[in-house]
Amino acid sequence: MIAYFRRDFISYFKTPIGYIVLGIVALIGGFYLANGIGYGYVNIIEEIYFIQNTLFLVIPLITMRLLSEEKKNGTDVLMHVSPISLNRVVIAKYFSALALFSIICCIIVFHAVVAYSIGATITADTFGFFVSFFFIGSVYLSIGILASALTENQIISAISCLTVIFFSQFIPVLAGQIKSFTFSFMSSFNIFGLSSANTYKIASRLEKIILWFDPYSKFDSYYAGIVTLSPIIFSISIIFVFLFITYRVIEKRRWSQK
Amino acid sequence: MIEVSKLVKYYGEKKAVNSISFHVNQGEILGFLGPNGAGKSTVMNILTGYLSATSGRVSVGGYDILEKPLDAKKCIGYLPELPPLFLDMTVSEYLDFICRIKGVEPKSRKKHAANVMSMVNILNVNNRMIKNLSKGYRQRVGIAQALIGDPPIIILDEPTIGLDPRQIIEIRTLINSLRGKRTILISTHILTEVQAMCDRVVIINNGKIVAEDTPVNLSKRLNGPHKIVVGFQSDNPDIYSFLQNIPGINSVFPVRNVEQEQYFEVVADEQSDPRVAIFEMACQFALPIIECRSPELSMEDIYLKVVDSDPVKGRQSK
Amino acid sequence: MNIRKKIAKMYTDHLIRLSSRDERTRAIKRYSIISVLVVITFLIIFNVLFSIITDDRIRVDLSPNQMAKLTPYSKELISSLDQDVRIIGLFDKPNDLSQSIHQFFVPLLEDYEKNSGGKITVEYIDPSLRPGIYLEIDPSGNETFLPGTYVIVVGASYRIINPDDCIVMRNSYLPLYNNVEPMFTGTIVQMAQSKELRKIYFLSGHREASHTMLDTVLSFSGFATEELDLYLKESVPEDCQLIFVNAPLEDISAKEAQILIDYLRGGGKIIFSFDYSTSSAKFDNINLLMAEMNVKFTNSIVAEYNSNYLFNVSERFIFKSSIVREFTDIKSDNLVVGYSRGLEILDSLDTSSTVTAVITSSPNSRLIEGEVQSEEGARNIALYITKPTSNGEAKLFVMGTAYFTSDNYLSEAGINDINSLFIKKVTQFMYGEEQTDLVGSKPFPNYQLNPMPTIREQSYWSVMLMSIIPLAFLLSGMIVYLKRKNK
Repeated sequence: MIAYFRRDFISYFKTPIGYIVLGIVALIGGFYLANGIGYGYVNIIEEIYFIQNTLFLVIPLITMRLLSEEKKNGTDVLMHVSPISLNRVVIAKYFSALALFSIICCIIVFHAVVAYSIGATITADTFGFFVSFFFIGSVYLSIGILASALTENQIISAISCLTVIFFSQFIPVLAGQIKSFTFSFMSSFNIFGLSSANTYKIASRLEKIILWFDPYSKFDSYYAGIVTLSPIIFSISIIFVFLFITYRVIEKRRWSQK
Repeated sequence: MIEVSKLVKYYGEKKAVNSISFHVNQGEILGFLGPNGAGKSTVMNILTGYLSATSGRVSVGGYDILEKPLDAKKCIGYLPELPPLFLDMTVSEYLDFICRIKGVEPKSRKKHAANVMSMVNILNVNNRMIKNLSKGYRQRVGIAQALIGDPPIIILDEPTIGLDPRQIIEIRTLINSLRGKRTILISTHILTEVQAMCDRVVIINNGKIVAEDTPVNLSKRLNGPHKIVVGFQSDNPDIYSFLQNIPGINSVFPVRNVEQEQYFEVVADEQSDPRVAIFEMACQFALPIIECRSPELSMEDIYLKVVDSDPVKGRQSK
Repeated sequence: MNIRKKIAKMYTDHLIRLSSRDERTRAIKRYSIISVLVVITFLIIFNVLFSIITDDRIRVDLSPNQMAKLTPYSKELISSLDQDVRIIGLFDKPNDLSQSIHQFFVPLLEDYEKNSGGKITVEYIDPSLRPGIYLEIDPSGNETFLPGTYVIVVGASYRIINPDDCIVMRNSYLPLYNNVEPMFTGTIVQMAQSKELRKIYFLSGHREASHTMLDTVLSFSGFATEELDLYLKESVPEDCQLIFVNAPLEDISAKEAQILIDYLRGGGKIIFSFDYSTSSAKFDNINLLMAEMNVKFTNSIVAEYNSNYLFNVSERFIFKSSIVREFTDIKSDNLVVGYSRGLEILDSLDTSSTVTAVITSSPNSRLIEGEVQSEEGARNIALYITKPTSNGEAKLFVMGTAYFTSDNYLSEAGINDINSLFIKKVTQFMYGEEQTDLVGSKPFPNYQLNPMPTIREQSYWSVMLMSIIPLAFLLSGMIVYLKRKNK
């Protein structure tokens, strides 16, 4: 397990990809921070938000090679025939990506230190934002690793990961749309003979259920400065589900008869 | 060491492996013969746990591959058809990684890797990137990978493919040097390779075992020293009957008749060697012998012969 | 662990037994899919249970100045409401709070709901989906509701709260103070508690400035206002605690002046504000009243000549004040003063009264009256005068400007502008309240760099952050790539 973690993590730095990822984030964050210094107004929260909005471009770069490349080069045989269990390989690979992502987080911490040293205010809720950033990034990584397990082509893997992450950011919008659609649909046909208030209740209930699965909405309270445990538990659960599916997908190659 | 019973593997509707059973004894080198698509690689992949069988059982080193996959995999060093090489690593980085996943003691890792590298003669490239290596070197790195961790069972899928003749001899020597110490399963196209290395041969076709014997027996059974091609420089039309009249010769087939050269294939009795008799006959009729040889059967020849006697003809139709 | 192993063993045994075509594969496939479903179901149940059990009680409030939390005083106030309160957000609850102003409301309103003992309910209703909601709140149908606002409904009455009014902004983009809590608590307490409100009389009859905005501001502190016409009266009402004279454009009558002087002599309290006008109206009677407290207002106007205090260099009559003393913790440079008459202290040696300059202009300002310009010097904008009487202290708070009280200014700046906070505190002080405010406003963190980086620092950091560090990463990537490429 450590062997795979070590290999994949070091491989980020033996190929240009790790440096490119870090360079991009340093540039995006640095752009924001330098701009802020120019205006004399620096809020690290906004920088974190700024970087979080570009994660859908960065995360696929981190995860695209992890499993697709192995399949393409035939090295996936190693993880099947070596005396290590497959789920550990998946976890090791995930953690190697997470380690790179942690370095990205370190860049943000570095920027915060720079900002502080030149007189910026860093409020306590920055920490909450940082935590939510870390966990949302971690969830993205697990999506990326699944995308990379599904294909042999790292470009396809990257694009599908990017698409999923990008559109996952619109779950709240989608939920709102579904709500209004359900409401107007149900009230115009009024099949069940419900009052408008009840129909509305059903529609909002539906929206709530969809939103329950949305990591962003879970972290809502973090943006207001309230740090609670349940969003973190939820993120870890999502990560676990994606890694488990990834493991099953890889294992499928063993018994699939295609 | 390896027990395979009633192994079946389907790919969709196609039956790639059809109820194969065989075993490999400890210290034995078993050759696995068969044309492309015969199911060799599939069987090997199932043995190593890379694929799972549709049905049937495989036990490796005493462990069932389904029940105790990790224990079974610990016994195996495997070189698949496409060597599993990380192209972005150097040879020594790669072998170090393999040492780690195979659980080689941290202290002896370096020494062990160096040992294996010298066995397959790749010490001179240990700091090169794998993607910059030639096919031959890559193949040898792949073999090194299979040898790491000193597994008691080594499974090599076409180990000499892509190597030049000198390298092939090196690999053969290497495999021969492991004889008795490891149980080895090799798949190959080349009969001479089998003859040079293997204690026993299994030939499969269309997912079925069509022959299983020692190479000597196989060769004898399919070819034997009693079959000779002989050529004369003469336009004497009676040579055919002269040959037929030699005692011990069962049948004679004219092979070629070019200008003044005539060639015949002679099949003799099991026990007799007709070559002296043929020489004497030639002296008697003053026929200069320009060639006398046992025809060497290629893999294809043997395979064709085996297939001809195979009751299941061709691939399964839909 | 043992059970897991047992199950695994049973499973593999089962697989081995399966021998006919496809059976084993199907079994594995089934197992694979079911295991994924089981994991997902388990985690959903676990998460639901977790959030139900902990109910997010394990929480750390990191919001600046605990903005997302009710202050204990608010909690106390709303814990004993007499009536049920319905808070309705007239919009779809935004799914991404971080991008909307409602991030300052939603968590706080949750807290209201939690701490009210069931008296307060919070709903978010999108009027486009439920147009009936307007009539539900206001059956008469006369009110124009704006989507995106909050409505507090108690019984048949309701109050609309515009979110923008709850956030005090500087220069209309920098959030300065968060007044969500005082706004809501104040309104709720007013509407749902049958406690009698404290009264402030506003003098009327002399073309005073209208004060509806000021009413709202004061209502958050639990004040009600009432007009007071002294023309036909002999004295101020018995229950009068504080009289507000809001920028009259006409002089009061001599009789009124006398009533007010009597009132002061009896220990009365008056807040006086003036508005500058170029008209030649004389204010002799008002100055008579002022003279009682040893001050005088003039027809001059304060002009600020220090550009640091000006918002706009070409407008010298609107500027930031420089000193605010004794009354509040509000920083002086945030108060906006405009068109202020000069206030003079009549006799600085008079020891019967104590005059405190509360707001002044900068030492570089001048008084202008017609063509006459005074020397440079700090000018009084607001004065606080006390004078001992036989019946307690007489108190007068006089402002040369209407920028703290008039609707004209307050409606432009918003009722939670810093000026209105100031006048609210002044009123509370003058009324003689122990508790200066029901619920204080919470200042936003100031993200402005302090000190402002020099141009050199700015360019140093922009080169460093935008070029050198990212390039260092990319370059080392390139070096590694080139180094290993041909190895």
